[in-house]
Amino acid sequence: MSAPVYVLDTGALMAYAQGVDAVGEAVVEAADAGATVAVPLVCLLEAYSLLDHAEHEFLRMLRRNPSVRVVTPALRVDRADDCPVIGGMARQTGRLGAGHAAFVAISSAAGFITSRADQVRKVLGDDWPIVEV
Amino acid sequence: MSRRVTISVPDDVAEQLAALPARQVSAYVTEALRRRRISDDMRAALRAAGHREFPYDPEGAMRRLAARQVTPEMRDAAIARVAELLDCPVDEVRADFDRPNAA
Repeated sequence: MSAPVYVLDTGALMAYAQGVDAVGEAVVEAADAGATVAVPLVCLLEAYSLLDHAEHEFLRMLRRNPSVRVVTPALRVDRADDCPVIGGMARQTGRLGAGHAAFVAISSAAGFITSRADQVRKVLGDDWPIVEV
Repeated sequence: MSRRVTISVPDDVAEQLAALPARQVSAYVTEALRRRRISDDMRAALRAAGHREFPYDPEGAMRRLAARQVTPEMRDAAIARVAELLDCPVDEVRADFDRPNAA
């Protein structure tokens, strides 16, 4: 599986489920190029918590697509543990999902799709490719 | 399981297939169709969520993605920024980011 070209944070997942074209363009771009997009697990859970039950089906359809990869944090304490860094980044960005998404973006050197670019610029920097939706 | 099918294709596509080693034609066509199915399924998911139609454009997609790549310099700067914000050694933070993501 190729490295993701975009990371979708909670706001991007909400925007997808609500028909915002900028997200559609980005995920279609990845699928057409034979690439993948990453959905951090924390963002997926936040999106489920914020969307109505009727909108959950849209997330299910997105997740079924082979070009979409849900990324879970490494949890092996004392060996490979992403939790401390993700937690620290969440403290800087102001949201747990934003922290996990920024972590995945830097790990994968992937572009970022978000409704709150201001929250992640602090860690990603001004030059990082961000699509604001 | 596999099934033999006969199809007609334009001359330029026929030439492309003829240039492949004979035993690789089926695998090549299968891969191309599977990739197209992923794109079609993505559009179906988007339509269900109320998005407009997007034209199938693999070459344009690759060109646009190439223009928005994260450079090694951007990544290095972000890692240094995180290390400073978290008050951690850069090498330690870099090791966290360089670990392959669990998926």
